[in-house]
Amino acid sequence: MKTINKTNQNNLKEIPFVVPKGYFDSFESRLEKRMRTESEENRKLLRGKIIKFIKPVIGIAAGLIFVLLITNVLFKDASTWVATEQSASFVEVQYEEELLANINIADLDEETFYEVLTSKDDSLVSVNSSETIITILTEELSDYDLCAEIIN
Amino acid sequence: MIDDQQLLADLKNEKKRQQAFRLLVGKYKERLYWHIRKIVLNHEDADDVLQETFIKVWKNISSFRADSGLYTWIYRIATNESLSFLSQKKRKFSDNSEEINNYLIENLKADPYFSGDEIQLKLQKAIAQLPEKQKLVFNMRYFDEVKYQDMEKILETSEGALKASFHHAMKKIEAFLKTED
Repeated sequence: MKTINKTNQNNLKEIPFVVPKGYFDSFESRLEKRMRTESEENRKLLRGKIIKFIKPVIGIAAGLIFVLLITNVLFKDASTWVATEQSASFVEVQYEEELLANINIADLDEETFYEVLTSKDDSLVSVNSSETIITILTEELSDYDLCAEIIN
Repeated sequence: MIDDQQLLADLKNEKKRQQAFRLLVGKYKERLYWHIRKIVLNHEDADDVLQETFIKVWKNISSFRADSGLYTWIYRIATNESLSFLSQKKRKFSDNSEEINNYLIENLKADPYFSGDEIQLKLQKAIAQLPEKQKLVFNMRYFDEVKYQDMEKILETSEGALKASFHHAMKKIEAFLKTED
């Protein structure tokens, strides 16, 4: 450069900067410390992001499970109630059918017929049933007496 | 001193990576520091950029394809980090180049780690006025005496364009120094 003489030119090529004492000697350890710190911070950030993502997913899953459980319980109760009701009406129908099969309707007047139908007294049900007769007759006998009767 | 090919092989080996990285830092820290310092001027800033450079090297070494030499690649990272640093500083000054240059030069005068005389300070002022690319080319050619062939790979610019850049930079510096006299 025209405005600078030879001596100055040599001077100019020198880098006019210095560093603090021991700067380069300690550089590696300072760099490693910084990299460790950054790595730890990145791990925490990643953990935070994962938790942030998982929280709503767990919430939704828990909600779904709760709804399923409630639905399951309610459905079970409903089914049980329906089954009980059905079973009860079936039993009632069965009772009526049995009753009608075992009664000679022709022998009953209207009033008696209605009484028999609505009564829950089992002794009125199987009037003509052999088994029932035996049961009634042997009610008063003990097992010993019964056996004795059969042998003799 | 371990050669770059061996260093690279060790850096890509999980078991030897840490040790190889330490050797790499030890080998190139000073050269890279002075290159960065000439761009950012301030010691604390240069220290920060140098550390960022090596952290980037560590993170990206597995993707280094060895199209260029290892040092050329690292030098390029250091250059880009320095320019990014200056861009960030410019944004603080609302992209006003004159303001940022004045700020850098004023800082330099007060910098305890600036050991230059009046002429050297004038030169640094002149260099600070240059556009980024010309500043880089001038520093690399004038102070580091980097060959244009190597500069091509670092700055990814043709040799002809680099020579033109240097020529323009010299003219501007001369003109600036004349006005300062």
